[in-house]
Amino acid sequence: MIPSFKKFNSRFNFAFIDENTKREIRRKLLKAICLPGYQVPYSSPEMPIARGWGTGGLHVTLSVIGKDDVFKIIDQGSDASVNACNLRDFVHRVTHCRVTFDTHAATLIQTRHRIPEEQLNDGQILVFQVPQPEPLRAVERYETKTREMHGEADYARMWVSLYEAFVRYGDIMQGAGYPVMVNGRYIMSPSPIPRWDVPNLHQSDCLYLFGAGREKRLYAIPPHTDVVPLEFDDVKFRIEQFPGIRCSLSGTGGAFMDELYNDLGHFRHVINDSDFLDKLVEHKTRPQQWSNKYLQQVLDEMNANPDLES
Amino acid sequence: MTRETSYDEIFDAQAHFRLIMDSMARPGKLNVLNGVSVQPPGSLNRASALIGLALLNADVSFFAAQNADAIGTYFTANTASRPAPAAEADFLFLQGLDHPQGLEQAKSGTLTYPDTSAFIVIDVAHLSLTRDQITGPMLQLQLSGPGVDGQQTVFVAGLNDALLTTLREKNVEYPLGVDSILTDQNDRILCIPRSNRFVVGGL
Repeated sequence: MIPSFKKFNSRFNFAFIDENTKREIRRKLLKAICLPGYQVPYSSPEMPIARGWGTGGLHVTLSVIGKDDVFKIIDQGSDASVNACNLRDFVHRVTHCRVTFDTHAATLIQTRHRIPEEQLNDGQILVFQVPQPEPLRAVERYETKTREMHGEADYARMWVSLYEAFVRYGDIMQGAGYPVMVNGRYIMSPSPIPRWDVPNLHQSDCLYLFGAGREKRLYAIPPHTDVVPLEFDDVKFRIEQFPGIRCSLSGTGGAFMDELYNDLGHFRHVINDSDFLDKLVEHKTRPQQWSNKYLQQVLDEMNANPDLES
Repeated sequence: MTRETSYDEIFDAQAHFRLIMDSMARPGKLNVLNGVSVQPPGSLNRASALIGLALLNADVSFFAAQNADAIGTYFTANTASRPAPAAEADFLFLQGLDHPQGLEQAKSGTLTYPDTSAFIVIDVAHLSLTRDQITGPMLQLQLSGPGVDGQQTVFVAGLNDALLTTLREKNVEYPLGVDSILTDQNDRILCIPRSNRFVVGGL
């Protein structure tokens, strides 16, 4: 039994980061919320893990977390991968907060590269670990220039690059981290989440916070904010399609799938979100998923062909 | 000079920050900052003092429109923050019935760094989501924008119409602008980030 966290029984501060730096990060988070999609520079203090391994998400988590929070962390949809386990242990050790795998029970969720399959509600905060916060970096190398482009909402080169991808390859090739327009003003990188998750950023109930530790940037999407994936009138944004594919463990579809390979090179599909899969397999219930038109299309297609084998 | 002894700079600051963040992410949602009996100088709402204690430190400066000496000493003693003129301060503590002069001068950031703008903390008499809880003259605010599902109506007593007009003028060139937090005498807070638009009706 671990005693509850008291001020003076530990050799480090509650939630590891010192109070001065927390205040700085908190002020920047408020500014980020006031400017949806805008990247706020921040101090990105030293952490016991290297920058680029989730420090940005950790800074945000540790600056907002309180004693009553229930913490969940996922890495590529899984509660059990190395990055998630180690960061969960760390956050638990420095805050003594309750931790959970249950998406619905969590009040604060840190994530790497996925949004949970289960819909989040207005009492929850989702914190993203972001490797590259600048969506324009592929078309402009210099930070001073991209800042100007954002300031002037000069996104012509971004549109040209999408157009060129279409001309060369017949489609917009961006898979993970599909660029989005937030609140009609800033183009933002949603961190490398699959296209499957991108529509869930639009008009959500929960608050999204993004931390890029190595690049020293914070940004946010408040609830009920317009988030539109970049698309053309005649070339539309699409999510990943899994036509006729069923999860080999739960026998169902309509969720983002992993391909698992065996030694012979054969592969099978498994639902990527581990908590969603657990609930399907163990509790025989399908948790409430997000509602967006792209997912609805997939579910309609699945329900029209219920007999397909995995 | 009052040194706050009952304020816990770790856990009270965290709890209050979460409430401020919740209100900022959901404009029109009133949250109550309570649980601590701080003794701010006169002419500063307790919730405004708690906002200062939660967010100020030596890295930022503040401006107080009224009773500047007492408020200046209070925040300097408790947060190590420093007073500054309105045009340079990161936090402005204003009174709802004041002349909007301080607000006119507040920093609104630059196009490349719009986050270098000021936070405005405004003391009003009463905030409410329903009209019948306020007696006397009041303003009706209709908020819309990011964080608001459709529209949200809030009733405010003890707020100068001119202050809101100035606030709207400050925020007309989004993303430039200021982000405001209104506090009332019952420790409630209401946030109006610059991303929101509001319509005012007098009652």
